[in-house]
Amino acid sequence: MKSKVTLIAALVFLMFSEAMSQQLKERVRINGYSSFEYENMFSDEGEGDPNGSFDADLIDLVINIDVTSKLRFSTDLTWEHGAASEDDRGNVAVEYAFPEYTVKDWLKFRVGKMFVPFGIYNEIHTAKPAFLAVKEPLSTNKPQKFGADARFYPRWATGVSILGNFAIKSVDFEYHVQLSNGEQENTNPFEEDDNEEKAVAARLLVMPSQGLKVGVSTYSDKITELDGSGDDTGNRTKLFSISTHAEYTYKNAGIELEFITGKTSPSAGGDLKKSAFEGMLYYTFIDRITPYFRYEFLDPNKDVDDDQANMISLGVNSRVDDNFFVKLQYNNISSKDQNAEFSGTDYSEFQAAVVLGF
Amino acid sequence: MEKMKTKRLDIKISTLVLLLIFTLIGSKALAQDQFVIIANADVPVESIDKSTIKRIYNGFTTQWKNSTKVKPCYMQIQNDAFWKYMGTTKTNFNKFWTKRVFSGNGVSPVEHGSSAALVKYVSEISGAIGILRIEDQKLAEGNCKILQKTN
Repeated sequence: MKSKVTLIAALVFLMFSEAMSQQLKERVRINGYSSFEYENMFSDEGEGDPNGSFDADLIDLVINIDVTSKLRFSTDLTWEHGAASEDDRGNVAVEYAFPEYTVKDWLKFRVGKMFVPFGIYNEIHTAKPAFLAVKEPLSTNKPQKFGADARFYPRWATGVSILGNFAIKSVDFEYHVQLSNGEQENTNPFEEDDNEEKAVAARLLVMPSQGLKVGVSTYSDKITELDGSGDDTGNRTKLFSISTHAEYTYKNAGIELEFITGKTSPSAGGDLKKSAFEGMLYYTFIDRITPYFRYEFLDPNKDVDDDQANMISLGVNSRVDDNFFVKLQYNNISSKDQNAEFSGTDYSEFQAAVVLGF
Repeated sequence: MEKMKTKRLDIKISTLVLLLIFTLIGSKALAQDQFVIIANADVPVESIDKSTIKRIYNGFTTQWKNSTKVKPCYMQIQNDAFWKYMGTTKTNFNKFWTKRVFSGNGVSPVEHGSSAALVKYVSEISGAIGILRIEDQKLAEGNCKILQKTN
């Protein structure tokens, strides 16, 4: 009798756990990616890596939980450069973490830490399986490493977003408007705003066909100006950036273009205008091998003549297996004498990456 | 004379056999180019158009009219019919979803390895919709709604 009860209990438990497991599988989805990189500069002079270094670039876990049919929680947790907190090495970060409530597909709300919805790359800049090249374009995404005073927009923001998509006839539209604390120096912008002004990011994407995506993005903020001791002077520096971008794929070929222009206006006057461009062409052979060519250009200050920099990249992205890629890339960086990062020193480098998405 | 007759008969038989082979190959190719859209019994639609299917599989339409979550799935289809219908390729569809998932903009449609697994999923999961090869339609009959046949 006892053994029968035990058997029935075990069967009930198994049935229950299978149902639970199925329910959990439906509600929780875990994806992620990892990237391992190598970089070596060919000459001794330049801003590249002269030693030929390996980099345990990152591992990210992307978790989506359907809390209800209208409520989704999404997060991306990253461990970068072999993170080891005991030795103060690498970086651990929450790339984004937000609940998203869907009223209708054309009206959704997000609150939390998010990527700033700007341009082609910002929301996928760490997701190396999501793009062909070893790294995202520097001129449009990391202009401060290309001779600019600052970025066109911050990577992340904490605040509220309204977003959605809709169709007019056969054309799809996707919009995203984000209100956030913006960028600041003396406090954590993901916890507390250091001024009353809020940053606004907005992006509109238009998709007339499956392979064509055209977009406009803007970012505006008022940044607190600090005095010598780090206190708020009460003055603000205005920042405004606008980007137009397009991506087009037709069968095995593709092209992407992005142009950004930005203006920084300190309260004391002396506006600084900068602009950047990146363009990429690629073609996929036998569904696996994709050679690409990318050109990047940055003018860090339009009032200064000899400060521009550009980079030409030639590379091959090989899909070894589903979502497993090997990337090989050659970069040539050239600049003019007044460029703050490169000072007119031209150099070439080799980059490689082994990238996995799951 | 007898030899001539035998030769003609041989030619006729060969032609017939060839025609039969071509017809079989042709009908198989036609069948491979067709598929059916099936859905869970609780899905509040009886038919569906191409633009809605595209929006569902691109992650733009995420809810049915009764607020049930749309759960799209598809099979590792051997031919390109589905991708042609969607106006894309498997590779470009994967690229599209890789960007969408990693940027926090949704979860990709579920991929199944067999028709039986796909039908089981669609029949059991509320709000599920799937793409099935037409030759496997019988698996879905009685278990799921047939929303559309296409080629």
